[in-house]
Amino acid sequence: MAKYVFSTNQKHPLGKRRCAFCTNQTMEVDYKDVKTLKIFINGFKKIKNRYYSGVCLQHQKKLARGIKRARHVGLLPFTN
Amino acid sequence: MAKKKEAEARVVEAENRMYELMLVLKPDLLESAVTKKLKDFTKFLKENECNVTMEDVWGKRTLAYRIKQFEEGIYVVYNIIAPTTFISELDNHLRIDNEVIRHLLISIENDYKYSKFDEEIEEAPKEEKKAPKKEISKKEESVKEVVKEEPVEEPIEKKEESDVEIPLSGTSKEEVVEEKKEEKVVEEKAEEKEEKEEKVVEEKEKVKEEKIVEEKEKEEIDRSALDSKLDDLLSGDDLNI
Ligand SMILES: [Zn+2]
Repeated sequence: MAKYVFSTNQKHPLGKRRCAFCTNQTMEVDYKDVKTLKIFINGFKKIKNRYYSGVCLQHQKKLARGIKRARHVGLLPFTN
Repeated sequence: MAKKKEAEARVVEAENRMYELMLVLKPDLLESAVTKKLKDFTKFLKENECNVTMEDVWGKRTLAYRIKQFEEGIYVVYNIIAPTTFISELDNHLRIDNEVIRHLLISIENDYKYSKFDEEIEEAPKEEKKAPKKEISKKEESVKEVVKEEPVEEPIEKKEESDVEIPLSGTSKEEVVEEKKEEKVVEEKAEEKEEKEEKVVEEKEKVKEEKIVEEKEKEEIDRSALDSKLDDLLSGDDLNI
């Protein structure tokens, strides 16, 4: 599970950006998976904008839900 | 109207769904207390017609922020199949519970498979590697110093020889070399002494420990001897006080 690479996709032009979760189709957003959730978090521990992370809309919504759940249980911080 | 509502409630009751439940327990609970707590909780679930499909105890983890003045928490994850009417009751039950700091109850799809996500395994071996390295480095320091010194000396010798060759005769070379050799021998001896000193210190510590153990044994023996003497005196009825 840990071998999947999540790039920020910012080097590619807008048309060639691919969602990291759509490309690895076995991957799903889970609130217990702190390691991957941390990739989509800002330096101030805010949820990254979809423009910078290159995630599709569906997965961005799932991500936001997962991060909020992880915050509620104390796996991720609310602020820095 | 009342009958219709009751009928609807019965229809809802028959429906079972899968839920995932995460509990964060107080960190100051002992292991036996935690196992007891979880046993009681599973009992409570089974009494209310819940089916526990999976139970996973993560153990102690540091929280990302303080919850009820606690820095740590014991994480437990359940996968349960529960009737939909029971969920609100369970939520209330967990909210009232004092030993549960936080809980999260979410519905999951039927084809959901629980998988572990290891975050700390990568960090833990690094710490393990660091600890032995320090010990080795301390031991190797003396060896490394020797290794560092030797290559520095050799070029100097060559340079001096080359410098010396032109103005002076061949006898001076040998003298210089002999002097260097003597210096080297002195250095090596000093290193050997240091190593010996370390060994002596270790031996001394060992001897001290042995002494302490012996003293303890002696004390025990003395006490046992005193006890036996006392027993003899008491049993003999010859108390001439
Ligand atoms: Zn996607």
